[in-house]
Amino acid sequence: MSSDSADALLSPERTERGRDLLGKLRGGLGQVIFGQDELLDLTTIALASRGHLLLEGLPGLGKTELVKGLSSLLGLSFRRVQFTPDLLPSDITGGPVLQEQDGKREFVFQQGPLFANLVLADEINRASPKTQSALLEAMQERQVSVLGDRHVLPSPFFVFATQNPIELEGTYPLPEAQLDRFLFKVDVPSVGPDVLVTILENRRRGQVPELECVMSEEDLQEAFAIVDGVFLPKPVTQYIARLVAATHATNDDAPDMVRAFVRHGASPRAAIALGEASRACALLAGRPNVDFDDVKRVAAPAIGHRIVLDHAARLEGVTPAQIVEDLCGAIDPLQEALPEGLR
Amino acid sequence: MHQAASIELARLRRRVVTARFLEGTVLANCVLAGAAGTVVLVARLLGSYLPPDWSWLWIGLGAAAAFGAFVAWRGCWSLEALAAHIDRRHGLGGLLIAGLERDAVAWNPELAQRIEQSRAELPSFHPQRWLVRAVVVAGFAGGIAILPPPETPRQQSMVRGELERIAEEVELALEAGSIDEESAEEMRDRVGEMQRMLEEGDTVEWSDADNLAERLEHEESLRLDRLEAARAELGEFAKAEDAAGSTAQQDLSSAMEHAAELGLLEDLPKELQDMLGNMQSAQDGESSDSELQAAAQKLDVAALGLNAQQLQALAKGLQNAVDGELGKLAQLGKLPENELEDLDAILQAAQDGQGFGLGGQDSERSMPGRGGVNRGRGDAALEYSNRSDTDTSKLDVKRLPPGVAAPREWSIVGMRRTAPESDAQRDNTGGSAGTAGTGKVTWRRRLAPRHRDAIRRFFSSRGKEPPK
Repeated sequence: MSSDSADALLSPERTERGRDLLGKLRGGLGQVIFGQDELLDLTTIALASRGHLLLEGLPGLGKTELVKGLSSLLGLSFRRVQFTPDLLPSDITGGPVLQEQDGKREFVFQQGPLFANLVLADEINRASPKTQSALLEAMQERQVSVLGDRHVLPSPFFVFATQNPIELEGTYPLPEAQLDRFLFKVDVPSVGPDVLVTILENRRRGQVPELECVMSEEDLQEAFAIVDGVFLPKPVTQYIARLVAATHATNDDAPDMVRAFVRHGASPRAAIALGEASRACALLAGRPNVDFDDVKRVAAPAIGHRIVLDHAARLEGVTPAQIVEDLCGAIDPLQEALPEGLR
Repeated sequence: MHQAASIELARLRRRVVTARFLEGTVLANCVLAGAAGTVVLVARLLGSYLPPDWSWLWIGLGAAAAFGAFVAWRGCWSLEALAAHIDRRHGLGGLLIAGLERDAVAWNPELAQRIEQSRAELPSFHPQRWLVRAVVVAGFAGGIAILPPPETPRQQSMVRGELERIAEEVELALEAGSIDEESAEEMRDRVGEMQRMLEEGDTVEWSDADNLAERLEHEESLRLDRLEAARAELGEFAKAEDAAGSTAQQDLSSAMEHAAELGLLEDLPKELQDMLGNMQSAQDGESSDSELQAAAQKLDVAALGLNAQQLQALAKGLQNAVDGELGKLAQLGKLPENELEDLDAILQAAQDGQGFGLGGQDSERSMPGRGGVNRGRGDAALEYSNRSDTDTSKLDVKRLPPGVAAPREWSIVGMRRTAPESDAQRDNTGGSAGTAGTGKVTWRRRLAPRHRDAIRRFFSSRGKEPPK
């Protein structure tokens, strides 16, 4: 492994190494899910950015399989929690259990399913807000506090949650604070007939083929380090800042759609997420630096769930993705526009 | 940074600076031209007038160029902005902008290759929109600039016309020798001053123009009176039986004085000038030719001791000089009508070998060129003496008594109701003219017929025929 100086871009070799690592993971995911390239890219990017991922889609589109496949590819510990309305916080965080050892009874902390590298929170919106909020600390600070004791979660720690956009009776939409903890919220689209043909040809009884671990924990840490080394140039940083600022209707640069339909814009955490995700996106493309296009590519999944639309948007059928798309079209990556007579 | 990237950056910087300069210049030009045009337009709408001047254009262009330079300086892009544009245009994936902040030597081959493979061009100039704006605003300003200046009030335009006429008259008078150079220069200055006042929108009083015209006429009248006086005295001298008699010599002396005042002695034949010069020097002990005029003004012919033939020769020389001067005035139209007729008669008589004499006179009103509705028929040919063979009497204006219908044989061309016209005439005699003139100025005044008759009777009653 070659070392890069602090004031130099990643070397081509190291960049290539990072790209290979992410490429292997991306390629492995391709064996699990067919015809969802964007989903797989974003999943890889989220993982490389050490972010949590919220997958939203109809049942049967492979959300759960994707996460399970990811755990197989990474060789990390994996827990799956099926969120239900009666799920309690202690059911996921763990809790003290009275045990007798050597004739003495004492409470021993019994780790919950959160104590794993990959946690699949399936149908997260079916759990009560109380349980949902138990994830807050875990996702943000990567620790849980039980009875005043802090318990550090294993590293790396990822939460992959899924939710169903239909059958909303008896569900609890995730609060904004909870949503903000997810790096991406990705809509899992339906697939076309061609993809279905591929699925039918490769999935007998829905069985996923045995996956080999393509990335060890060391490889993953190396990939993280390389992602951290991806350079975010100042003009791109300014672009991210302008983009996030323009999600607020009161901002001067806010496009008409934002002014019309957005009640609350994205938080600074969105800008941080955008920067981190852009780094991973650039590395996946084999670049030692972030480009404006990387930001645009991850803008929708990174910002969409962080803006709060008003009722007019619901009545008009405007989605956050449309808002972000309009935003990206309205905010020019280049801060300085060409003079009028130059084209 | 790679050389190819540096070259691209420098090229884009130049283009941006140039475009900013042009943008600022055109913008400033548009603003200035629009503002100037609006100001001129508003001023005109408010009744004032700012005559456009070419200096405005140069000042405006200079100011616009300065503003353009300011815009170019202020709008100069940072290196990061330039790099971002080139990066985007060539699809360099952010490598160029990253290379500005971090050491990217290892990526230089990649950068060079991408720039080389890129088919994107630097932004080029498309000045159509600038040109459209500039043309529109220039058209607006130019249209206002070429608007004809507002008409001055009628009275002022009449004053302007009168001043132009006076200026022309001054030049003619100077050419004819009716006025001297010094007086002409003063009058030119005065006319110029009043014309400048008119140009600046100030009011010039009629009285000022009249005073100037009066002065010009006074100068001309003085000269004409002296000519007339000289001619009359020479006529008296010619009529005298004894040319060497004291009365004749007195007449000749007076004629010489007038000729000297008019500067006509220089027109005398050389031998006469020599004779006068020699005699004067013998008389006064002076021999300067330059003082011939001054000497002649106090010359007593009787004291010269000339014989009759010499006196006749001197009188003839003076007569020729006076007639020549009258001829010049006649050619320039400076001679009054009656003088013209006299001169015509004189010339005619001279041609016929009948000597001097006065011809008959037609009615003034029937002559063409008199102005007004009775100016005469349009086909009446003007002759040298302003007379016409065509009968113009039928065009006389007839004022019908109140309540009397027009005779049947009349063809009514039109009827109109007008205010009484005052036809005030200036008193051309003025001040000292009385001493130098012969009184003919009085007869040239345009008077009502009954007044004219009264004056004629007054002078006739003194046994003297009034001058025509």
